[in-house]
Amino acid sequence: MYQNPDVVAQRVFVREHLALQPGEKVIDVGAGPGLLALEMANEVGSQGQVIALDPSEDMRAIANQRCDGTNWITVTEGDATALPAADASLDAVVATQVFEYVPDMPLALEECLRVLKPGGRILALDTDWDSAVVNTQHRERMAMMIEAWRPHFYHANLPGRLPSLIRDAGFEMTFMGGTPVVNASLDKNTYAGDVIFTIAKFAERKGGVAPAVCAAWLKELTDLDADGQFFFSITRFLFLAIKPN
Amino acid sequence: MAASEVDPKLLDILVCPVTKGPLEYHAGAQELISKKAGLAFPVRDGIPIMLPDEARRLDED
Repeated sequence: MYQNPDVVAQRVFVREHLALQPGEKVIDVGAGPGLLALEMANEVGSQGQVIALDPSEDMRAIANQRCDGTNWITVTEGDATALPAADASLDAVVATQVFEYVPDMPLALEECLRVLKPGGRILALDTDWDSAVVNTQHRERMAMMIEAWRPHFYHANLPGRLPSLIRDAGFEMTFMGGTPVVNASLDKNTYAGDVIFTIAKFAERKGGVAPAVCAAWLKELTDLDADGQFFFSITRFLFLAIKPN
Repeated sequence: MAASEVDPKLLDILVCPVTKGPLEYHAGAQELISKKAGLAFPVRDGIPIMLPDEARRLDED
């Protein structure tokens, strides 16, 4: 799913707003398979540094293989609330769809502030599942499925709280925006074509939704898709802030 | 980064997550040593594992 056009477009949106310069040093907190880290490494060049931190061993292995040969990227294991970076050593901190999994957000933001140079910037991108718009004849069932998906995240509605969390940590907000994923197909090459099936599995295994209900939900969506009437949208919210001089 | 080397420039940035103090790279042992914390963080396949729980405790002399 990291290579599908929706997620590629999301990385472009992130990089446009981050606007990295050659020689800059950046940490990608929750780097996943390293696609954004590698794109950022190309922007900062060999005089820069990219630290790609991820808690998943599988993701780190993929990222490390991808970044092999780009020796100014370092893939590492670490904790978002105890970053392995020196005080005031970095120009940028990036966390895309990561903070929604971090329980202690004030501590994570305190760490981001610590590692940034004065004037350095933080970019956070997070999803609010209340922003989901899906074509359905069964709105209550849809709401129930999304409710059952919520525990997948530690914070399912972080974007609404992020501006105050970021400001309270001592940053100055410079930009807030959003980018919607809009899919009119359940094709495998779309974000919806991945996440809808993940939600169905999660709701059944961990969300306490009866298998028959999950199956009926999936059937409605796949039937709509077959009739060319499938529609799904969700918004990622982007926050850019700087550490004051 | 490339296979199993730690870029010396990285050590200007990378610090011990416990003390936020400097690290020494021991290439032979593939470890990053935090003397202040008494911890040796492993470097596995070129990936520094910067978690105290994964670190080797340095024996006190």
